Amino acid sequence: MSTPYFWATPLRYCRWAARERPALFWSVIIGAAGPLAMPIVPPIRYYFGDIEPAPVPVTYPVPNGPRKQLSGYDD
Amino acid sequence: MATRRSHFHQQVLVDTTPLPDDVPAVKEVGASSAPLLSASFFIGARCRDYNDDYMQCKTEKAGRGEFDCMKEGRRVTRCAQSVIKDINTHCLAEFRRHWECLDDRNQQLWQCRPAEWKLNKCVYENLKLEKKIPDQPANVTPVELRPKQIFADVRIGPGDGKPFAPSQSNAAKQ
Repeated sequence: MSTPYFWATPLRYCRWAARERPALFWSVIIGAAGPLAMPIVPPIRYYFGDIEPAPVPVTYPVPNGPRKQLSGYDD
Repeated sequence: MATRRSHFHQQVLVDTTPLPDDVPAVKEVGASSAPLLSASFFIGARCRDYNDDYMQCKTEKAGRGEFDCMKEGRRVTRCAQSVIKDINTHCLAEFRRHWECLDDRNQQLWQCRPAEWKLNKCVYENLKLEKKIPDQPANVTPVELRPKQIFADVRIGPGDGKPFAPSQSNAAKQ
């Protein structure tokens, strides 16, 4: 039996690589898991009740609307 | 030898461009960064309206706020001074312990939670000012009330006291 080519028989290649080239095979699996998790994991987190914290303000949050008439601490 | 007199060193700071006399004088807050950080949430609790007003004033008078909002700016300074003064009057020991801890620990708030809880308790009981971090998610314990601070160098032990939250302490009494 010759070494299978990935593009010809992907599943058979993976079965072969998992046994004969485990370091390469699992490196690809683990490396691909991160980018794949980016669109998948957040909806699951929100489903289980996790909430994203509000972004930390990077400048003073100036309130909108008219100014209050303040007294106290005057000259 | 220089013939000029020194204007700025450890002992002397001479203001070479003082404000004109028609601007009422207001003293500096007179606290360095660690006490200010320690008192910051209480300053925010009492002076929120004044700080907001000052920033709104500066936003309205864009470009000229430094001249036109000096009255509001003096209010901000005086309000902060009043908070520092009240904390010094009522909670001096706790306040010192907390800000000296901050000073020693790179001003990282999470290193000084036990001292902070004691200060918060004292300030809440005497001044009715509450430390509250806005916009914290509702499903987790607020960061300042966690008995385990994962970034702290020293673990919080059982002798270090309990987290202080006014609403929680009221709930515990009932």
